[in-house]
Amino acid sequence: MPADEAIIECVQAGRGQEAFERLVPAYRRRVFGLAYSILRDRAAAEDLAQEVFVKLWQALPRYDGRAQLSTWIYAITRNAAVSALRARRRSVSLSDAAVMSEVEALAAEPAAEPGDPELRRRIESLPEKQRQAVTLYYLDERTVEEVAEMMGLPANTVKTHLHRARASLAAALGVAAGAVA
Amino acid sequence: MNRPDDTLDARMRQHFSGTDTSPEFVARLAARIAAAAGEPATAHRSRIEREREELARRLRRETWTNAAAAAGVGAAALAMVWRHAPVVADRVEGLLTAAVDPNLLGGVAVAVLAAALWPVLQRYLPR
Repeated sequence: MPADEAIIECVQAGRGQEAFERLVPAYRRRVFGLAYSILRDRAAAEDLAQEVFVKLWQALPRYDGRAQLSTWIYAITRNAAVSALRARRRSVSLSDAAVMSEVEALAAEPAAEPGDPELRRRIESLPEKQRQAVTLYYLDERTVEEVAEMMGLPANTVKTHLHRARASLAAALGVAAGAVA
Repeated sequence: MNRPDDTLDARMRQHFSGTDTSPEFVARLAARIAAAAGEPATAHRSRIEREREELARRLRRETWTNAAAAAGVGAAALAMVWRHAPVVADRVEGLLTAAVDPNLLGGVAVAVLAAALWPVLQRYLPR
């Protein structure tokens, strides 16, 4: 990716500030999308994306180019999102009936997130990897290869997840599934 | 038969079309970066300042303690020599062939005292 090359050039030349200024617009949507596909909450994904960019700002001068820049950024984002998800699960005790009823009430709130409520419900009911794949695929109309890189999985595995997810969704919604590009 | 708008792709694209960061995302990030950049520098400065003050306090304390100890030892030595000069002289005479002058011993004691106090005196002497 040309943007990556320019960012790496800046890092190697010691122009960290410029590198970061190029990195934010190039990766804002992708970092946010990846966080959103894991956390399933826009506000939480945005907060996490902020944290990831702060981490990147701190770590960018030490980026040694051994891994691809995008792979490195996605790995940082995935780790941060998974940690946030674990922390969130720990903080919500499943035995706490009051908390659970509040969570269910919030989940049932139609204005909580924009978009198609029925579709959101169907997507939510998919297995985790299928949900992530389908979210990343449609969020920015990414290719299977890009989604695979973001998820850290082989492209064929992602293709399978996408195929199954789309088939489930199409059957549940009674619409044509089309084909994965 | 499904209408074109009913295809899964169309619904999915429409569903995710509004999913993005808030418009103030970059401004918020800039503020966080500025805070993250400022915090360590401020913390570092205040830590250095604290350490410097602590070191200065410790040095002042040690200087006075050392000076007091040296003055005490010197004064005691001077008094001993002054008071027991004949005895000391007799004892030393037995060991040394040359006669020991009590004034010389007193002078040596004063020199030792001055050497011990020299670091303290240096601070107050005009340069």
